[in-house]
Amino acid sequence: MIGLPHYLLVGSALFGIGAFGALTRRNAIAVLLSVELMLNAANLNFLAFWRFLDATAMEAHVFVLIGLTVAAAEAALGLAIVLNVYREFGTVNLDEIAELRG
Amino acid sequence: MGSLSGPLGLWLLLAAPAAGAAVGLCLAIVRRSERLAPAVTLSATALAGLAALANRPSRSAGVLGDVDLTWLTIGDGFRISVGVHLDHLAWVMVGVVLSVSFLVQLYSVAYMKGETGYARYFGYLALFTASMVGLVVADNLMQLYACWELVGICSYLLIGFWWHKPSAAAASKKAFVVTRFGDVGFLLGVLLLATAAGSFDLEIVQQAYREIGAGGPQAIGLVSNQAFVWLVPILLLCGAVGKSAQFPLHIWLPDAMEGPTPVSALIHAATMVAAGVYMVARLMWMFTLSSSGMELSAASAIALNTVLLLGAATAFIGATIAIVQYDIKKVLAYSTISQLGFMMMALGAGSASGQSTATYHLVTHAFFKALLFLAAGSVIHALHHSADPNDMRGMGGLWKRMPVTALTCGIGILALVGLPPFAGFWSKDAVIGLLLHRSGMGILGIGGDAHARMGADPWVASIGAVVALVVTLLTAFYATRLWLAVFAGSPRSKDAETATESPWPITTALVALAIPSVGVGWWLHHHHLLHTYLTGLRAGEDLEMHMGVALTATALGLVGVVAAWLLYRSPSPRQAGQAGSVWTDPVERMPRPLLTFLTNLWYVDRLWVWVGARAAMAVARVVAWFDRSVVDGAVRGSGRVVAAVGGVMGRSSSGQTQTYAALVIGGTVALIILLALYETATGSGQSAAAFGMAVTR
Repeated sequence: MIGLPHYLLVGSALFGIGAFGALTRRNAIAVLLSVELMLNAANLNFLAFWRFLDATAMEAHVFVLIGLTVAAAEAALGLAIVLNVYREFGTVNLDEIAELRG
Repeated sequence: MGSLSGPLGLWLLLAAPAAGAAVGLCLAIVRRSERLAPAVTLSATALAGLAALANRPSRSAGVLGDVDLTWLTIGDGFRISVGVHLDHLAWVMVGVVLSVSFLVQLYSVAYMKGETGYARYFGYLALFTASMVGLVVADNLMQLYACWELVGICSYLLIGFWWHKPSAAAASKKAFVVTRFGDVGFLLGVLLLATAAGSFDLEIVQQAYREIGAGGPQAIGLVSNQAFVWLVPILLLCGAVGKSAQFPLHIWLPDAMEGPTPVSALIHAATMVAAGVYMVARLMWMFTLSSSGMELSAASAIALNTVLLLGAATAFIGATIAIVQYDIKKVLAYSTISQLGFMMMALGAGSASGQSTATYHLVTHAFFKALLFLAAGSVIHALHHSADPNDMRGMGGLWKRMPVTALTCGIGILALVGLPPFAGFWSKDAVIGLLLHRSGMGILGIGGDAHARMGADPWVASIGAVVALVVTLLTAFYATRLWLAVFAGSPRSKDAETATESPWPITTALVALAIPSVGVGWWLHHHHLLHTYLTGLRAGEDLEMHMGVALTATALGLVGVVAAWLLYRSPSPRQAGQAGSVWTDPVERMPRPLLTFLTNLWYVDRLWVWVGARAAMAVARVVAWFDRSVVDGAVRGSGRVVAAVGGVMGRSSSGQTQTYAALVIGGTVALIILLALYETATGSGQSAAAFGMAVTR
């Protein structure tokens, strides 16, 4: 029988992979992709908790739908920023973009 | 005069000179009618004198003029008052101050004629008179201290009266600073006393002091009662040492001669310098605190020994330096120092006898030294066209040109030497006799009283007696030298040849002072008039006049006079046909090292400069080190710490977005772990329980 722990395991795995990617990838686009993974991990958790704890409440769906919308907007905005970064610096390698250092 | 006796008269004593000072100084400020100033101040002084006469405390003690007003009330009725407490001692001193002040003002009318700042001068003199009277009649320590400082200010103002002369400005500053050294001790003593007694009132202070001396509860934290009873007199003595020009703070007095000569007579010979002596006499109960009957406590012996030894050192040092001075006023200044030493020695002898003997010498000295200074002023006035009118090397032969001055000065000299029947003879012999009595040496026909100690230790009194006899000899020598160098022989300068006698206000003052210089000694000695008046006690054995002392002192005085006569009677080189050659003073024939030592004033001035410079440099070095390393260190250190912290923190701001993200995630994880640990430790586990419940459902 597949229960809440299994969903949560998948969710954390997704989150871990996303976090790892967001922290280690040099390419800005890859980092954006990893952030998407983390958002989806959160969505998965929302739905899993909804399903197993209180199937009558609607908050989880609201959160997930807003999350999806925000993720879409974020992806569009993020790609636009990356495009501008590339125009400015001639690269999307995050290691080379460190203008705001102390 | 009847209406003057009572509170009105007592207040007039203070108010009249103060009003005179106010009017005089106002005239000086508006620069109008300056010539009226002496009339105002003279009548104010005369009025105060009448008030004093009307309020003379009768010989049978008990009828004392005593009025006071509350000046300040601090906190819960801690009261500072201004008052007039006219007891016998104060009355005698007021009499001296007012009579000398009156004569000096009269003299100044002629002496200061045509000076700029004429009204200012008389205003200062009246202010001095008012402050000195305030000091003398003070019934509480605060008034005593305030007037003490006022008197110091007047001295400063008058020494620097010719402020445009750099030497006068320097001398006034020196006098102020040097006396300030002593005043620090005085102020500390006054504050200690007032703290212990809870009042400045002299009667309450005296009561409290006796209780402390008798072993009452500890009065002041940190200071035990045993230490208190000798520390306070010594601290107060510091003030007397400064004001009365005692060794080693005597160095200001000779420089104070930069002021006008009448000022030297009034302030730096007759009255102000006597303030220290007066203060010790006034507080004699403190210096002779008896712990059991007639025996002095050890503390009092410490205080009195110090007084006596300081007096002896001062008397000797002053007299030796006076021998080699050429400036007529400086001879008199060192003579004053020496005579003040005599008064201090008498005070050191302790008890009522010491008090009255010191006052006795104070009174006679006030008259004959004022006379000597005014006579010197008369000579200087006559020679004021010459380059250095004070230099005795440019005088000589003035006897024929200025007979009144020469005669009255001669009387002053004989009084200073102490030949009978002049005033100094009686009072000086009283001092020597008292010291010999205390020493218990049993010589010169004087029995000792070493069994009942009433003053300084016998061995200290012996030193004092010997010094007093030696100083008698030295005094006779330098005094005679002064007179002979100025008046005898033949003129040694153009100005001395053409000098003329001074105008009448000057000669009147001289004659008026010559009379007490002859008569006051015997009069006050007669039936121990002064002693019985001051103390209300019958004179004891220690005040008897002894033929042995009188003969010895007179013989020593005569030896000094004759020695000076032999050295100075010979015609000066100029008269002997060696025109143009400089007159050489016979004292220059003394052994070279001794002469150097004396003309360098025992190196006391230089010692002070050296000590001052050294001490100031040492303190400055410590302060500089503190400033450089601690203060600057703190400032620079805080800057450096900020810079270092900024460097470390700046390195973490790499601009690498991913590093920041890693820190955020790491921080969140760390927080979660901490929360979990906390809940495990406290056993509450709410969030973990909720999570576990959710998972297991």
